[in-house]
Amino acid sequence: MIKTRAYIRLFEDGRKTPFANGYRPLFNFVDDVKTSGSITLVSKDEFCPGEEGEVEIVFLTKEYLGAEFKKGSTFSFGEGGPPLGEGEILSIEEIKSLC
Amino acid sequence: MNEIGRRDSIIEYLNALSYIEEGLWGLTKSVLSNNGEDIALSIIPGGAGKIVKAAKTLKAATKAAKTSSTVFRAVSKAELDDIAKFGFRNKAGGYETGKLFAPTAKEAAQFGRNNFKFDGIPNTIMKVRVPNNVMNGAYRFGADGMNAISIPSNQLRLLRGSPLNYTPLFP
Repeated sequence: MIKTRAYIRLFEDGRKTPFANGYRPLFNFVDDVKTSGSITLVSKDEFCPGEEGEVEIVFLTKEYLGAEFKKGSTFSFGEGGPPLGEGEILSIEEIKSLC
Repeated sequence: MNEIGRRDSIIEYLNALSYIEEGLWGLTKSVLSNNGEDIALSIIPGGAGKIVKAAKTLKAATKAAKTSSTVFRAVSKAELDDIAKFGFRNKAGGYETGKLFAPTAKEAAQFGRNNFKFDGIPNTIMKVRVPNNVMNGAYRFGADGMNAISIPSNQLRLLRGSPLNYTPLFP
């Protein structure tokens, strides 16, 4: 499990409603490779379209984050269709095995 | 017809063949007994009845295979209850533009396993019928090493699902 802090932007022309704590979109760090991540909001209950800010994101494995995954890595995220937002990794807080 | 549709039809056809086999066995037994009363009793409820059932199954399987595909989804108890009450839909705060499905029960089980790692909530696998015209507008992609299908939210009301009565194993 990889716990990160990231700065994200939720596009204005994607979702029409905010997402809540625990939202689990699919992230693209590498073209055509999607991986699930769970977003924890920092001191707010919802994240609105057009908004940007800092969040925590947890990934289950490094396997689909790309060989170059590190602080500064950029990504897009969505729900399987066109990207709904984008972001950048600010820090990698914790890496621990789930096994 | 896609791979899943073909597999479903094959299963339906095999079911139908087994009805036909049972039906023919009923007829054969009646003929061997050489008893008129037996023949009449066997043909109507046992023999001909089974063959008619087989024909109906074949017809339904052919129609379903032509018009729909099967996908799978791991759902929590809360989502299962919501689907039973309202059908497939997106809920506020979660996915808004679509819902994710897997082409096989095994892949859905693996998505369910990942979900459990995130939130610790147990999952049930649902088998879902998707009209082919809806399937044609779905996004297909790979996620976490599995095949996934995103069905747009405005099409979700057209899906019909039921929970599996077994737990699929994944590699």
